[in-house]
Amino acid sequence: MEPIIAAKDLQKHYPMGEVVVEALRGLNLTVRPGEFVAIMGPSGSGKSTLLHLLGGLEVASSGEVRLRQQSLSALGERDLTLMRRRKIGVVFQFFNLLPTMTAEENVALPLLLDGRPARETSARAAEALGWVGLAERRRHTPDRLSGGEQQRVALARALITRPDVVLADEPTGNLDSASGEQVLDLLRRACLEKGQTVLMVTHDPAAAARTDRVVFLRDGRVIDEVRGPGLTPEAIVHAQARLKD
Amino acid sequence: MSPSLRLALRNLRRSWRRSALTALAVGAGVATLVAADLISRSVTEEIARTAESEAITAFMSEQMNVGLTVVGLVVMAGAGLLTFNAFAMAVTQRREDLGRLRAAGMARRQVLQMILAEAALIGAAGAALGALGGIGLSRALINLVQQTSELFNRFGSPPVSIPRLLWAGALGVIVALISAWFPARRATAISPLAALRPSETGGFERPAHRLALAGLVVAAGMWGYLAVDPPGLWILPPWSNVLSMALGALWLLCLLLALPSAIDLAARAFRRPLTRILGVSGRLACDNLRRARSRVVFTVLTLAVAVGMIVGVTGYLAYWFDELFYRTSEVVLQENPGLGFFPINIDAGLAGYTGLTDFTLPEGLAGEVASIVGERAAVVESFFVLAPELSFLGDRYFSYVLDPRSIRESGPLLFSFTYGDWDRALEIADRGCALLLTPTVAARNHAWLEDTIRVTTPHGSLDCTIAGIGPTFVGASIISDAGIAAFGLQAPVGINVFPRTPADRAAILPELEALAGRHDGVWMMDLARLTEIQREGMKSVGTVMDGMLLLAVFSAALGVVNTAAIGTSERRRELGILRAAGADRAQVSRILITEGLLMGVLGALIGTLAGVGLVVVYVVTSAGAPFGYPDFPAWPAALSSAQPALLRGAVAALAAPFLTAAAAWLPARRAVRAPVMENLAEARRGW
Repeated sequence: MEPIIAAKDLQKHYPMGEVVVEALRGLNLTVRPGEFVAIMGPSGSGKSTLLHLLGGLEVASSGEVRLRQQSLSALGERDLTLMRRRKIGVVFQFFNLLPTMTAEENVALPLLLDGRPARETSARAAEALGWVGLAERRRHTPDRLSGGEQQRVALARALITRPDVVLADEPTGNLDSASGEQVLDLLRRACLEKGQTVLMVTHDPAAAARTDRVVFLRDGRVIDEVRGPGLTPEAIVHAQARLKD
Repeated sequence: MSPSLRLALRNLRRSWRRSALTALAVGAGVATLVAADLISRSVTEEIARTAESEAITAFMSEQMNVGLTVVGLVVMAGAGLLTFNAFAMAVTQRREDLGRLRAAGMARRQVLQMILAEAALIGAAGAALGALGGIGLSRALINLVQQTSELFNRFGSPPVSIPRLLWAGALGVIVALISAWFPARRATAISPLAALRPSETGGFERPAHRLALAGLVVAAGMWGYLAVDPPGLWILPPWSNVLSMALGALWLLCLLLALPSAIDLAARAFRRPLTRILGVSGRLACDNLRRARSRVVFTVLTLAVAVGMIVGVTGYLAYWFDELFYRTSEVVLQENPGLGFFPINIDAGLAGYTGLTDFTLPEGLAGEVASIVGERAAVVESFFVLAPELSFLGDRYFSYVLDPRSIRESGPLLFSFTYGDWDRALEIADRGCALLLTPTVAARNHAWLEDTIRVTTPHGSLDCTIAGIGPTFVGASIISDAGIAAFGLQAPVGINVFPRTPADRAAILPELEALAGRHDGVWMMDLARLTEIQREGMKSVGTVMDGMLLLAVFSAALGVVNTAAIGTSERRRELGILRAAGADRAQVSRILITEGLLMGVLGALIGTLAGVGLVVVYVVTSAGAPFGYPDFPAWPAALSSAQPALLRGAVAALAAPFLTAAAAWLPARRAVRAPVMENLAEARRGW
């Protein structure tokens, strides 16, 4: 099966004053359709940078990212934006909802940006909110939603366009354990029910254990991975400890 | 160097754009004040060489200085609003920075000193820019007026007044300090914990609609009263001035109370149509106007002040020139224009005064004129003097010295009675010095009909009795011919001839023209033409004021750039969210530019409302009281004066949105070009 995402020899450098920080140093990664992949590693290993490059939120210094065989580096600014709008869903640690929009409107944002008809937008937003269990909160603005509810709204927004891939950057990092569990359940369900491909950056072994595969990064490279079924938090912690040696 | 000053300098460097724009706004205020003084002194520097020419022209300099200084103070007030807004937003923007400083041990007093030091440095930079700019501005405006005015075609080059420079510069610094004071105090209250918690940009802020409602009710009550019983029909100076100022202030207060609600309602009203036209960008732009209320209110207010001034000054000048000064003369001169003999070529404008050493007509000329016209015309010799007690505006408005009998024969052009009559007035004039005044001058001296005013002359005091109160020509007080000896006047400055009929005029005109031709340094002119030149000249004052007021608009535009930039900077994360969700650069730019456009529309509309309202309040409250016109049509005059003001407002309403949209474009461009993740990052850099 063709991979849905393929990153080849990916490099990313950041100038920080007089020093150049190498966030990624020739990283290679492939992800199959419908896979739920966790990306783990110590701080500064390049996890979030990898996610941003895969999502077209940043541009690689060198190397290539392909989404369904389309090279992101070959796209101009406008096409990249359209790709983000229609083909990629992103969930952030701090929810990143627009404060003046209701839950329904936040979910519908990609469709609104695409100029879709109001009826279609409303229907799909209602469906997406219903799927994450927040149909009755659709008219609430973010300040009237709990952290977990806001993150579910963010997830609904990421899923509404039926994207090729959902990228989640520490989606449970700002949530209590119960809310975090709810979000992880939804991500798992997205893979199982919708055939969604999900990449999730996480520090939490318990969250990683919910995935099909865990990729470990260190110093901007993939150094190991473990696969399910039957991944447990203990196995992941063990794998992490092994990497420190 | 103290840590506060060191940090202040660092902050200025870090946010150099904001600092520069704020300094420019302060500089605009200082420049206007410096230019006001230079322009007004340059009007009379070259021409006030004799006592007579000084008497005629001194008021121009004084009134121009007063008027332009008021404009300068308004521009400075606009700069104050901008500075307040800029510092208020900067404190919000730097909340985490300030929290870190407090966490590191910076005392509240040091935080206060740091921010006030920034303000003082910005004020000082603005003062320096303004001092230089004021000189350039005065030159530019003088050139403009010289090119466009028939009357004001010659200006002197007075030296820069150091006291004015220092005063204006100091005011710039003080305004910057006062404006930054409250944000600085707010900054001292920031907790060290602010460093640990990222600030969130807020959702909708609900305005206090009750305040708006109160404002509307009060305004409705005020307008209802003015419609039913315009005070101008019964009130006299100085109370007319007091009441018009009080009611004008009340009108502005009502608008201010209603402003937040008006913005909220306008944003709601524009939401659907703009969403239809611009998609989600239009909708978000409208929503953003309902957040960060103080930022939006202050930006709209800064614009409204500028537009309101332009509109108000236009209406005010229209009222004075069209409804008051020339109310009588326009009719009289159309029916039977008189003729005047003058020692200068008035058609040459102020250039005709240059080099003049004798501003009087030849001795005996009045007799020659009288012998030509006989019974076919009234002949009035005019003398001009400066008598501070009788000054209609300020202290240096000229007064006439005229023979009352001649005035009576000449018709209503020079004077007509609202209080008193000719028989009694002539009796008073026969006994000694008689005065014919407007109610304004009488009220200034706390005197009325048949009271005595002690007039200062170059040769001592002269007790004069008020013989009549009513409208005079251009408001100038009239002293009877007893003043000729008292002021030591040798020869008249003008000889006015008022033919009794048009046929008489046609008959005497050729001989009078020939008479003028026989005398060097004597020009004859149609009085209608003279009045026209005077009106045009006074309207040139409006041109100068417009030039100054454009600085107010410029300052307001700077305010929009500043607040748009800081607002964009505050919302970088939101812009990043939009870009991450798939908004393209054009869509994000449209949000910011549309916000600017909407603020421009609102500022222009509110400013127009304020300005027109002030004009109508003023006219209806004072009506013809300054001049003493009987049965003055207060409301028709108000509406007539409001028309040119409204036209100006309409131009502003068309132009301001483009100006503010353009002003919002620069920070918008900067924001959308930044990488998506840079916008989403927690740390925000300053503008």
